[in-house]
Amino acid sequence: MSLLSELRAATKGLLFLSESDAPLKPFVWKGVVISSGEALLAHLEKDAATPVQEVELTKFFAPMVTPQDGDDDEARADQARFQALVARLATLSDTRAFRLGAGPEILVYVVGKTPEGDTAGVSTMLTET
Amino acid sequence: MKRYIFCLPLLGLFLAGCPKPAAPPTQPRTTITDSRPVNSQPGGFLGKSSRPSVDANAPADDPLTVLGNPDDATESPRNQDHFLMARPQMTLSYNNTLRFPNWVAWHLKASDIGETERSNFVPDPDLPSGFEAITTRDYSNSGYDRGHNCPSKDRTASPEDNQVVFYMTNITPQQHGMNAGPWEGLESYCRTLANSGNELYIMCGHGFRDKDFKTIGSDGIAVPDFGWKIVLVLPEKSGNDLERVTAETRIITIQMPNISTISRQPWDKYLTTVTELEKVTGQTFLKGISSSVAQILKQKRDEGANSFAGGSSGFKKSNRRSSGGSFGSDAGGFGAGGRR
Repeated sequence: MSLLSELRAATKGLLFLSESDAPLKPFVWKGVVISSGEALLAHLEKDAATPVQEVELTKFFAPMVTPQDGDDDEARADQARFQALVARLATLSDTRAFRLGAGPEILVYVVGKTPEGDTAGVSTMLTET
Repeated sequence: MKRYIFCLPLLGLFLAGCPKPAAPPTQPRTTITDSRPVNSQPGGFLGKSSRPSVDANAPADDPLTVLGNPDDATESPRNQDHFLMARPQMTLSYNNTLRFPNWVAWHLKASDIGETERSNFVPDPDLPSGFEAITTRDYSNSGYDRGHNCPSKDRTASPEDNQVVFYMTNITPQQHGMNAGPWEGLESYCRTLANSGNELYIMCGHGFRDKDFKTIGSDGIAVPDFGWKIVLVLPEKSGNDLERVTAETRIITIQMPNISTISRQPWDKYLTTVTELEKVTGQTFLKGISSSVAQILKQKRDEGANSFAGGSSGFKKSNRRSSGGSFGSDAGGFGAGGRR
């Protein structure tokens, strides 16, 4: 299974919950190296003045893997899937999460380097008012 | 930052009749399973319950001292649709039928705004048994945002302060276009005022146009038709704030529809008066203020983001703009499509 298919299966139906719900979109960028927030903005062809904030991988996903009161079986199953996703993303090298934008909508790209030297990861959107 | 725990008298405990709810409840009251005495402490977050009233001894920044308690919410766990939860960060009246607050009130000043990281949404740990504790997942796949009443950034002086506003009792289903649009626009504008030497008394909530409303999630969270907010703006000073509220005090009142298409609208397109708001919500506001002053304030319609409130509010015009938060040069007139 290709990495992209693997990430698609891992994220299918999962929602990242902030003030809004957003799916996780996997990507593999062949021949692209993302060494910094600036490089990510350039690759996405976004304004270089866009605010960028780097977040540690496990910290970014913490809300989605942390059990809380009221969790049902579905909640626990999603937490397990998120844990597996984080573990898979952590096997890439130098995996980091970048938050783009000043809000209320924040785009997040989780990027890591594949053994082939490509960039892979998932993106999602947060609402923070 | 020092705040105070306070509470209201338990006068409403033995009242036979119930105050008018924010909307006509369509579901029977849930059976109470709480076995504690009716006057017991509901969640351990309240201070002494023997305070006589909202009186001269009340803390200077107690939001209800100024804004009043619109539905006479009480701390009795039996009062499920008007359950008063008074915490230092915010005070609210929770409605267990609607699954969201009838109103939330708080005081905002510059020192409330800091750099604390955002918390995560959690069920309110202080709800007594017999209440349905809504979780963040109850909103999943609903198409509605988890809309803060008291916003996150208004409580960023400490992690503890921020966590409380992520309790689900502070959340109401809002269309994303409203939550991230003009609702956020007014939230940002209030912080601009606070950062410009003012202290604000804010109360907000949500309401319905008629008896029928839809719900989301397996626990049946009601979806309101509109959001409303009342903001009293005072120059930041120590002392008795209630005494400083006069007919000249700036008051900002809005009512905005809970629809997706307003994301690019400025907040001040939705200005109204407290009198009009009382008609559509059935609630009585500004009960803390003397009736002669309140009567005048209730008729006042603010002039929006470009207002100069002169010496009485100390508001300095700011160049800061937020999404949907500024109005351009035609404040007060809403012609020509209203879009920027």
